[in-house]
Amino acid sequence: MNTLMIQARDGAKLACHRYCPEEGLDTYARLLFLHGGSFNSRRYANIAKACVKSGFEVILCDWRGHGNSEGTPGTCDYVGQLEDDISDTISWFEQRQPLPLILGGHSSGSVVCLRYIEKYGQDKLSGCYFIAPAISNTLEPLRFDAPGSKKSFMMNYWRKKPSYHPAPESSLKHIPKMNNRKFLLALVLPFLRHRTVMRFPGSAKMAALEGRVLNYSFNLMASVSIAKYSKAFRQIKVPIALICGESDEILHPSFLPTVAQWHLPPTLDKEVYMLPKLNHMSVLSGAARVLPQWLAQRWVKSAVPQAQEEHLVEQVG
Amino acid sequence: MSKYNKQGCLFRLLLTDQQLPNQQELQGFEQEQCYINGYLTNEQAICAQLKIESGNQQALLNAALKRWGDKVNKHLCGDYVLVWLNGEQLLVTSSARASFTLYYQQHNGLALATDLSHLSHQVEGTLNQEQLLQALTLGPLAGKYTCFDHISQLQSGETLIWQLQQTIKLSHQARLSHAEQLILAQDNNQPTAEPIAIRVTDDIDLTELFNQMPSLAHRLGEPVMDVTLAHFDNIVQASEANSLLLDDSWLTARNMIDERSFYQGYSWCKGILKPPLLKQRDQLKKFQQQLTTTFEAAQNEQRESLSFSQWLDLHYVIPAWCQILQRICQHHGKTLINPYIGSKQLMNLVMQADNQPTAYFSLQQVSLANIYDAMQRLFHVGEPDTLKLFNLNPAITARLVRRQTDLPRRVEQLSVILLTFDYLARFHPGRLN
Repeated sequence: MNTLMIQARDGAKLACHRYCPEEGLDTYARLLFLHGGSFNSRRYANIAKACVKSGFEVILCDWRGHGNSEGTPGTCDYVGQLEDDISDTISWFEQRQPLPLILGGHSSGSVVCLRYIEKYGQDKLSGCYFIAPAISNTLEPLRFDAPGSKKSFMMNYWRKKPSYHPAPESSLKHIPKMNNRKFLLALVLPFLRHRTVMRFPGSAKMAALEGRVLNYSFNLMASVSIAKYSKAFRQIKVPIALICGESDEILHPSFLPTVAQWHLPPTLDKEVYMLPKLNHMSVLSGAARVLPQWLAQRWVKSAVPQAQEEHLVEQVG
Repeated sequence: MSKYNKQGCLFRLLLTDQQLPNQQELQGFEQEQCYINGYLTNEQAICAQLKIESGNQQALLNAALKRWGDKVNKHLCGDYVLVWLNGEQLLVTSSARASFTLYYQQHNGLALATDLSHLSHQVEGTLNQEQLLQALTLGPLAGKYTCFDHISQLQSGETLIWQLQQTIKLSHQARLSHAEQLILAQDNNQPTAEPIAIRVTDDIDLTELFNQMPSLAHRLGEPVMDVTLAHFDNIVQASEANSLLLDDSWLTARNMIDERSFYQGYSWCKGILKPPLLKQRDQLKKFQQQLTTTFEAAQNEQRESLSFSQWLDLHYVIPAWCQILQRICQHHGKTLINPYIGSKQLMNLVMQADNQPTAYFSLQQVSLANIYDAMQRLFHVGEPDTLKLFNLNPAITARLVRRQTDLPRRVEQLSVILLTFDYLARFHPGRLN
C-alpha cells in the first residue's frame, strides 16, 4: 500500500491509499472506496486487501478533513465539495493510468458516491457499489424512528404514523444526533454553516486515537445527505451492487431490496446482498467476502460467462 | 408441438406496406403454415375427421385451416390463438373463451404480438386514457381495447383476416357469440398439468410481494391491476412444471363488480383524478350503457337467469382475469391449463361469487411494504407523466388512504395501479405519454 496526496481544485491535498495487485498479475479494474461518516480509510483495509487478491486496484480515499487529508475536520467549504473531490481524484488517476473504474463506499461514503453520480454522471464509471448507504433525509429508509418522526410523518403525509419504533439503547451508539435548533439556524443564517449541528456518539479520547471526526457542520452534513435518492438511483446505468447487514441499525432491512426493484431500471445488472446477523459496521467483514465475488463475476475475464462478456462488450462499444 | 411453441412462446410479426411484395421474407413465417399458441382438446377427433395421422399437430392445423378457413374456431376446441399466412391473406383467430392473447396494431403497417410489451416497445403506442379510467373504476374487463391507443387485442372467439395486397386492409371480422362460446368450450379433454399451489395469504412475505410488482408491470408492459397477480407471479416462478392447472382460489380473487359500484364508477376516487382522466367520464358512461344494453338483449334472447353483475363476471371479468394469469405464465415459459372453461364449472364459479376478497395490505402493518405509505411517497417522487393524470398530493392521498377501512380492496387496487403506472412512466416514459 502506498499513500498518494492528490491536489483538489481548491489546492487541498487529499490522501488516497493505493493497494495494487502484485507485480506481473493482471489488474482488471480500479475500485475507488469512500469511507463512512466520522471514520477514515484505516478501517477499510480488509476490504481493500480482499479485492486486491481478486486482481483489482483499490484506492481508499480520505475525505477532506478526515484521516490524512488536508482540510478542517468536521466541515467543508460548501455543500457538494466532497463530490467535487471525487471528481478530481478520478481525473488524477485517469490521466496517469486509465482503468475501468468502479465507485462505491460505506454508509455516508455511499451517499457521497450517489451525489457524485447525480452531479457528474456515469461516463467515467464501469460499475458502482453501495455498502449500507446511510440515506436519512426521508423516513422510509430508516430502521428506527427518530424522536420527531411522528410529527414529521404527519407533516409529510397528513395522517397519523401507524407505528412508532424508537431505536433501542444498543443501536444508539451508531446513530448520530442532530441538533435541530442549530440546524435550522444554519439553514437560515449561512455564516453558521461551519458550526457543529450533528454529533456522532463516542468518546473524544477514543476518537482522537482512532482518527475519527465526531462533530459535523451543516455544510458537511448536507454534503453527505441526498434529498431525492430515488431520482439518483434511477439514473444508474452501470452494474450495481447493494450490500447491507440484516441487523443494520440505520437502514430498514427492506429498503435496499425495495430500491433495487422500484428505483433501479428494470433491465439493469443489479445485485442485492442482505447479509444475515451483520450490523452497520460488521457488514464490512461481509462486504470483504461478497464484493470481490461480485467484481470477479463481472470484470475478471476468465470468470466471465459468455452472456456477461457480451454485456461488457456492449458497454465498451 | 407446433412451431410456435418451439420458438419459446414468442411470437411477433411486423408488416409494413413496403414489405408487401416480399411476403416470403416476413421474419421466418412460412406460407400455408399455421402457428398456434395454446393447446387443442379435440385433436384426435379432428384427426379422424380430416383423416390425418394422429400426433402431427402441424399437419392437422394446416388441414383444418384449409378446410374451415375463417370458421376454424368453431371446429377446433381448446384454448389457443392461431395465425395463418395464406397467399395474400393473414388470418388470426382464437378459441372460444381463449385465455391466450394476441395483440395487433394497424397503424403504418400491421404488427402482431402475443405479448403487449413487445408490441408497445416496437410501435409508438400512446396511453389510452379512456381505458385507464375504465381500469381504475371497473378493473380489468375482457375487450378489444388495451391501455395503449391503436393497440387492440384479439377477443376470444374472434377471427380477423387482413388482405396483404397493395395496402394492408382488414377484410373480415367475426366473433362467436357469448352463448356459442360457452357451448364450444364444453370439451373437457384437457392436457395433463400439475396443479398450481392454492392461493394462501397467511404466510406471504408482503415486502417481497410488494417488490414483485414493478418487475411484473415491466414484463406485462402495463400497470399491475391487483396485488393477487404479483402473488400469482411468485407462485408460477417457484413452480417447476411447464403446464400448470389453474386452481379456483386464484379465480375467486378476481375483481368482482357489484351493480352498485358499477354505476357509481369513479366517484369514490374522483378526487385523485385530474381533468385529462375526468374528461373520459362520458366515454365510461357510454361503455357502461353499452354493457347494460348487451345484457338486456342477452336476457331477452336466451332468458339467462343471471343478474347483471353475474353476467358481467361470466363474460367480461373472468375472461380478462384468466388472460392476465395466462400471460403471467407465458412470461415464465409455462402454460396455464384452465379447467374453468366449460359452462358448468363457470356457472358454479359465478353463482358462488361471494363478497370481495380481502386486501393484502393493511394500514395497521408495520412494514416498508405498506402500500399506502408507498403511495403517499409518490407525492415526493411521482413522475411528471403520473402527475399529469393524478392529484398526488398529501391531502388527497391521505383522504383516499383513510378510505382503506371501508373500501380496502378498491383502495389497494388503485394504489397498485398508480404505483406501477408511475414505475412504467419512470422507465418507459415514451410509452405512457
